[in-house]
Amino acid sequence: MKLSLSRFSIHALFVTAVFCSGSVEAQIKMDTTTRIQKEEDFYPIQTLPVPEGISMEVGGLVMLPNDALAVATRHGEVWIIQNPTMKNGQPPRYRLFAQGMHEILGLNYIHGDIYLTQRSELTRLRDLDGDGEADEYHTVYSWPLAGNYHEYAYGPILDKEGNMVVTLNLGWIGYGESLSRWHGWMLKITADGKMTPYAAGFRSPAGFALNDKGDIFYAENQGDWVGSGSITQVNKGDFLGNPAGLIWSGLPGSPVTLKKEDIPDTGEPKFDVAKKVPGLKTPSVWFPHTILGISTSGILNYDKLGKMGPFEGQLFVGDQGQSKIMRVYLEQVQGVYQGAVFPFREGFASGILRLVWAPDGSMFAGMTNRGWGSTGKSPDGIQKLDWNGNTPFEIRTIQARPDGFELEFTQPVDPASVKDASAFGITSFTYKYHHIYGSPVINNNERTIKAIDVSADRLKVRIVTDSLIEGYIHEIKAPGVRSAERFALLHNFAYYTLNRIPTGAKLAITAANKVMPAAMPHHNMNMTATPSTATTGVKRAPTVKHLTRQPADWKNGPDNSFTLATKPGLKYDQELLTVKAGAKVRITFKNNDDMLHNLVVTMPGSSNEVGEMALKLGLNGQKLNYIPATSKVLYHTLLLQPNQTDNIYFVAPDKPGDYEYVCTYPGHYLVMKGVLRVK
Amino acid sequence: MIAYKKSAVLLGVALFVRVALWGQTSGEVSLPLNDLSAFKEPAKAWQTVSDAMADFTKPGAMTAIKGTGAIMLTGSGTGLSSLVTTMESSDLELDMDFLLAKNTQATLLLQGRYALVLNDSWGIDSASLAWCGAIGERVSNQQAAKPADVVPPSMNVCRAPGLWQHLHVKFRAPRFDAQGGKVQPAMFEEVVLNGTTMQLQVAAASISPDALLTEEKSDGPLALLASGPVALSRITYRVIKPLVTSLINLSYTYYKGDFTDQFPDLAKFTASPKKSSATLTGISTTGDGTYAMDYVGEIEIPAADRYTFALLTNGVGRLYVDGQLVIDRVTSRWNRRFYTKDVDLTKGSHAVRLVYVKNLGNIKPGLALTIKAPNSDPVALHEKSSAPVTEFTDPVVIRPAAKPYLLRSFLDYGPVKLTHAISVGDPRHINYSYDLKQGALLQVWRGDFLDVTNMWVQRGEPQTAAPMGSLVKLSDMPALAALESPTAAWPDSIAFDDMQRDGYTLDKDRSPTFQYSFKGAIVADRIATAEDGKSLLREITVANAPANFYCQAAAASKIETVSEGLYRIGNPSYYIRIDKRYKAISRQTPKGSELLIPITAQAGTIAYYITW
Repeated sequence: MKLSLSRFSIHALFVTAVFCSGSVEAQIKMDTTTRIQKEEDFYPIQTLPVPEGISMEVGGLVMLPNDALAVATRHGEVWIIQNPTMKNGQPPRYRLFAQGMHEILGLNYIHGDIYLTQRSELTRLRDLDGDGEADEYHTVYSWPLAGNYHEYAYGPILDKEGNMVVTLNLGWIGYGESLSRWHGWMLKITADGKMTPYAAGFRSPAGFALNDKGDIFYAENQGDWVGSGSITQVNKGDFLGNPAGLIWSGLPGSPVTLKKEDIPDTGEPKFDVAKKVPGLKTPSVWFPHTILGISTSGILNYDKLGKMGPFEGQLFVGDQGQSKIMRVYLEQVQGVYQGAVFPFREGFASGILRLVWAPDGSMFAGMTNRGWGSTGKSPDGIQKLDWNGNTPFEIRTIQARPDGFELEFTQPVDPASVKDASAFGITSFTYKYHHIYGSPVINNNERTIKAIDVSADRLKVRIVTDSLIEGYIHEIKAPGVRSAERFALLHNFAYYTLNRIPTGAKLAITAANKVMPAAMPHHNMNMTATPSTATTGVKRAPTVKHLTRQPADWKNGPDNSFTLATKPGLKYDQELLTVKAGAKVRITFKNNDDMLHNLVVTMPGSSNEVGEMALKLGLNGQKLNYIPATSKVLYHTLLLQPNQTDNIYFVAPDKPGDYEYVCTYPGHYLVMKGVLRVK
Repeated sequence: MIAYKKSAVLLGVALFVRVALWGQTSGEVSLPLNDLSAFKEPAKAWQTVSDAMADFTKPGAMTAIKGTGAIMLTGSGTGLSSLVTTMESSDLELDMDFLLAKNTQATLLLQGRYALVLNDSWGIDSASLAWCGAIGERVSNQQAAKPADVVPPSMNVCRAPGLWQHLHVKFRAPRFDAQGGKVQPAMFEEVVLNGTTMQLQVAAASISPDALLTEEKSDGPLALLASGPVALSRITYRVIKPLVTSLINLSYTYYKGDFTDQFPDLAKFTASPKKSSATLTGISTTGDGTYAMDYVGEIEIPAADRYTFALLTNGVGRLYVDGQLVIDRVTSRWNRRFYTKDVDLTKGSHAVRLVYVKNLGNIKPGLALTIKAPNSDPVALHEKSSAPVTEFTDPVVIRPAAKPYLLRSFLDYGPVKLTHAISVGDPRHINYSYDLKQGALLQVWRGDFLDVTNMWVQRGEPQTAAPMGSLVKLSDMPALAALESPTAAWPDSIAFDDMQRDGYTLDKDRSPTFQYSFKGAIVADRIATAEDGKSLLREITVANAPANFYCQAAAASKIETVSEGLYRIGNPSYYIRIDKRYKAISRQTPKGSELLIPITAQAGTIAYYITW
């Protein structure tokens, strides 16, 4: 690990620190500069060329022992790619190994054979005659299906005992439902096809992997009974939270005894419900929705195969909707996994589904947006993520302490930058556990920082807070921290899920580490996630921008009434509405999709800006219906659940022009839009 | 070309006498085939039969089965015969069953002038103008006079000689001005062979070289030229007559307001004074946004008959005729199809009311209403500018290249959505689907392989693959069963947990062998293209077969023995061939007949061919 300063002379931006009047410390900072790093300065992305005519909607990736990359696709093909790392500047070569399976969403190489899951079965492929093409498609184990498109199957991975592990997705019929046996479950299957149900309560378990200890972690997507994305360690007999699959818990071999009716639908935090419902497992690490992903996918353990900087032993987690990779540090406290999730690398070309290590320690990301849309606009592809050997200034780990947290950095910090409370911010919050799709952030409270202590080597900073809340997610922001070399953090926030508060010695608060209340609480941050205590919720009172009743003086009703819904491909079903200036308008927006949407009328030419602002609402986004407080937003609906409808009334602007309407739900605004043409 | 053509012309020079068409308003007419009276001076080689059989290996061979109901041309297979109806028509919709001998070349002449090839093109894989379903002609291996006039069909779905095939043609006669000048050419609007569209909206720029009538006119007979044995049955047609009608005394009330997907109670909305209107349109000159237009008027029906109304709206629509609600179109905005309803109407004036609710805001108003008599084309009752525009998704199609393509998918099979189906497409355009859950060979088809738009575009919610060629449905029942007695019914299915599905292996030529076990039997079910792409060979090997174990080779309403070991199954039909050493058993069941092959522990392999 080296830090090449010369590289940054090209890329780095030098910005003057915020001028803070009053305090002596601020006077000291005044003449310093902060140096900004960017992800691409450390982690370049390279796209694999794909021959024309191949649909590279990746469902599975695995490295073969001969250094070729095997790729499974939605079209049911398995491609073998030689020289995928493009060594010596030579392009990769593609060979079709197998064809015609029904949507492969997992691929592995186990004991000399290629295994994969398609919709209805776990399959083993063999090339018996050695001609380079599979000629044996052996069904290892198959399961019934109802014929629902949402009945996906994933895996296999190999557990530490040598069993194959697969998961089966719930169907979608306006809500998640287990339409056929073992959907919503994790199953273990031996090489000779003996199946044992392992755990229940899954919704959309697209990604799972083992950590260094051989424990299984799976990634879940926000949805019904799932307030936000997460990764969770899975033990035999666990119930992970979505009750739909519990209709099979009475079948022989089920290690789960809970029934659907055992699960209360109260909207209390899942951690609290789990205290009353033995067997209900809560996430190891929550991924706050829209901030760190909207659809977590493949998990990659940073083992000895990888070369990604100083994060060995951590997990990388991909995201389909936001085309990015997050990083997770895990620790066990009182035998329970918990830890922190950090941003790692964004800007991939399409939705990430699968991650594997390349032979050179780089990482392949297999991608598809599969008709749901993604921040990266390509429909599919494979990209290679490298580490160039330079070490970014990052929070390497966060560990819980009895009285707060200890942050470990990749480089020594500038002690002066961490002395006052404004260097950090800690907020605790959680989500509702209920049948409704997703959840707003609830019970959010800022914690008061009482002491900050820097280790002798300046690599660790201990933060003491007034209190911690067990079971809650703790947002930890570090906007003020600078490295000894005056770099700001590449990513200055993380989310720690505190399942257990460790016991042990608390830090003695001394004059040296005690912090005074901050004089100037706001530094520049590359995200704004300040939770608000305002009680505006999803059902907030109508405002001028969100008028849900026809004004009394509209004697003849609206001049124009529009009823919009969605159509496949992240689109409104009407993309041009024409009204006269000053017309009385009603818009009815019906969310007939299987994800959340709103409709926001914006000033001409500002829909992207409004979409970006909505993205930056962070934790408050859902509570605010992803409506940023800006004059660029003219009118809007609420954020609508699947099958919800909202009516809004407004008077069209007096000034003619093209007023764009847009869905500001993160990841949607670049494509899901239309024009309200005022004539 | 010349010698052959001359004979055709000579045969066709006879005067055509126009006869009164029977059943002019009732639509479909069956050509009587109890004798040959429907044809003008038929050659002696034509006879009435009840059925015909042909050996698909012997050129020109066809056997008559005595009786009536069908007609058959016998003969050496070397000469050319023409058969001409006494009936003449202009626009025509024709349905006909036909059966060819091996190598028979036949041409159907619409109006005695425009040729449609009905050659035996079974198994000819390279695209050819001689394919059954081609427009134009290339009889006797002559090149067409104007190659541009010859259009091969979309694919070759010709059935094997000796199997009944079905042809549907919608033909539009040329149009002439008052001076007799042609203003619109003749059109093959649609040619459907064995359920698969061969041709769509093809103009016949000129008459065919082998035409019996050489001058283009509004009317003409149907004629068949054949150079070998052919049988015809169930010939029905509709003479398409223009339906002359329109809406009169039309007026409407305009309502302003806030409408939903449901049909509104118009009394609750603000009405504008009633206005008369020259035409029916969904476009309002009063205002845009959302509104309703409640049209009332009359329609003058020229003759008593069963009429079909069709309504398409962007928004909600309701049609009332004589005060009765006929079509209730609650909006489903992506459902762009017409809603239709048949209504019996007497001659004379009938009250029509159409309520159109544009509940979708400023989406383009769209309203189309048509009426059709059984023997007419639909007549638009709306103004042209009011008709909604149709949108389509770009299709995704799999075309097997050098080797067979196997694709697993969901598959619609009748009303059932199968979840463990696999379809196999041979580059020679012979395809089949197989249910891995039952070991059932579901269906076979010739022509193009699969349309997978519903699987691979966007989210692919149906996840179904759609066969593109001419389907022959076989059976979704298990191929194998142990029967407790010789009369025990064949089981409908094998329970999911009673069968272990083991997958499949592929030969060098990628023919699969499906493997599974149930009831202790270990099954290998190999299906391969055989006989140069003309047949499928199914070989089932069972180890550990239980007692009284059988393979059901066919189950159909009717099973006929053509010759020893050769069976013609069902209708639409296919052949099963079983070597006599397998000792096939034919048995009657309440639903028809079954063909069973015993499988014993001693002789665990059986085989049969499927030919169609």
